[in-house]
Amino acid sequence: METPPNKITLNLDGDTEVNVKGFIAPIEYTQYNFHVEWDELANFRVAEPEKQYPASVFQSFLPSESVSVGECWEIQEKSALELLSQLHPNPSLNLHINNGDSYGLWACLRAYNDEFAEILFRIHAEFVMENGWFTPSQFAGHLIIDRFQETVVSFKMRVPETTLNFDAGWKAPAHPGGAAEIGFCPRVELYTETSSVPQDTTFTASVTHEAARHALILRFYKAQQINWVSLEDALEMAQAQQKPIHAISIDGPLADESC
Amino acid sequence: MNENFINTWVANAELGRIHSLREPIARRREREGKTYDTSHPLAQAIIKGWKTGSKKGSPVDCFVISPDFELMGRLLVNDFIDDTWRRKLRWQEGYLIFLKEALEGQQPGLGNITLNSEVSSQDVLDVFRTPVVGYQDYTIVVIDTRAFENGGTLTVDIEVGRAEAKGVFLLFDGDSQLPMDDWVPQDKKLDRVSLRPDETGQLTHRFDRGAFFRLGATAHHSWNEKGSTNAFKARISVEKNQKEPLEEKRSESNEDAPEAPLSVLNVVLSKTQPSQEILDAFRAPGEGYQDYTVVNIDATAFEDGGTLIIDIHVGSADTSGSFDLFDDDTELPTEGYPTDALTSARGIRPSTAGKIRHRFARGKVFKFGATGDWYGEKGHINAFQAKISVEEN
Repeated sequence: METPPNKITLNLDGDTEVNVKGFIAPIEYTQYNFHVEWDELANFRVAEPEKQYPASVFQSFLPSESVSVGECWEIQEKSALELLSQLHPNPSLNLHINNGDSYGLWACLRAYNDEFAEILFRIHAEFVMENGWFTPSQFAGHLIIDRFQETVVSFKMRVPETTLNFDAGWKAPAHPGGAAEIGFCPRVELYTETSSVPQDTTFTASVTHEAARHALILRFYKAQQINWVSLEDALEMAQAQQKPIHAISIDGPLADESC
Repeated sequence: MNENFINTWVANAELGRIHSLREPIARRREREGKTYDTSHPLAQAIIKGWKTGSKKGSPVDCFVISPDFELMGRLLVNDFIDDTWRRKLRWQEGYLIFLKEALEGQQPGLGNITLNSEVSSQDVLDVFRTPVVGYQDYTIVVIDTRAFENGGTLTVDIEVGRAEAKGVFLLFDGDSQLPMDDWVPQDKKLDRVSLRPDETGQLTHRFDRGAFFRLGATAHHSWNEKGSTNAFKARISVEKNQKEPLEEKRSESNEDAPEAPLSVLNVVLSKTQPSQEILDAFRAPGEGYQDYTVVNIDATAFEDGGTLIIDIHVGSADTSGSFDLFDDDTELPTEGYPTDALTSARGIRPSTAGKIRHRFARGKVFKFGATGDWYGEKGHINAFQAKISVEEN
């Protein structure tokens, strides 16, 4: 079948294997100190520090049809769950709090040339604990593949290090329904140690990382159709444009699942 | 939204609103060499917005702010959900109404108390303090009576708590600058009353057209020790304009009477009076400490025992409260967890309620201790109201 212009197809050699390392750092802070008082949170560590995967797991991160840069597609659940279970044995893609826009696993082609293709992705998932849940803000990552060799060049999936980057719920004896908590874990990550794309690589077609990330977030939240800017930018823009400011002050981030 | 507004959002933790996260976030920023500027006028407008209007807790506050950084409207998400449900509106419709009202200058949400024909009376439970620096330090309650287009009579029934500070309560126009010096010009104040601890009084004002008013509660620096505080409860109501102006009723407090600071209150319950209410204040002790306001509860009249029930309502100031019940002979701790407490109600947030129940086999005296929780800023105070009652066995 012929590939339309500006579109590419992406494949991996199913016979190859990929070594993935996992790491979870101790939680640094929480609002109510659950990371000290709740054993499961205090001892939250990676389930398997290293694991070998067949390339087929990563094939599930690739589009089934040809795509152009900036285009998004859904990742297959089974492979995402397989990878997430390296971090914790009970991952779930169905979040316990879902206003209708929480579920999703999306990937976006950011750039390609004849040799490489770079894909960014965003996955919403949580870990079901024995006495509650742990919901990271998101799993953001990239997958870079060698188009000639059809191999994984680099893979990384991590929870971004924002000020607050997870929500948790503890069904403590005093709170059988679950008491909510927010906090920061410095590192929750799966990654390959394989070589990455040379820095001077020129891509045939690309969108910026920011544009790709925006395309991904739009797959989740309708409210992201609003042009949100930082507080500092709003400060300057309001004065320059003499427009009123619509500001939201919120306990957790507006555009992820850590609230 | 993109056409009419500059849109921004900020995590409360970034601006230091979540007290328990201030220190760890500051440590992290220092380690990472990052700073977060909260001094610029937009951040300050948001911080001011938290303290404007209703002080009910809400995980999300939405603001409309003018290009010169004046608050034009505030919406609390918890109130919003209840309000849209009550008015049978879709969320989008309710939010659009909020934005339009803000742009039209109606200042939605900037009044603590909004009165209308359906809700013509509301209670406020808060604290006032004697200024440490300068002459006045007002606790402000903004009263929105705009629903009464043809005017009415605003009445504020005030009850002062039993702590040491005497209070001064003034009613102002919504747009007046509150005087910060000793003397309040006659044309500024609509009504005024001074009240001693445990006293009640009333402010009234007849108005021709619905408007914003401000109730200012403070303590006079020459009557009280600097920094001394007290709780107050105000029932604020409007009666539609049908009657003659109400005669002003002012409390005739005796300013020369000796001070009688009360650090311990005795409540005696009997079979003929099995229930009493108290109004008082508690203070945040700082993490790891306790700083109890103590109420002795004498339930010895109930010889065959009963169940002591304390219904607690915490005021709307910033600090959450923790309440512990002890045996009479227990020495109340000044630090650490109150391990000797018979029962506790901890971490009751501003403007919310809690309950303590304790069953006892024979009549006895209890100590009821009220303190701020460990997450509140040390020294900050809040009011509490407690209905203490015994149900006989």
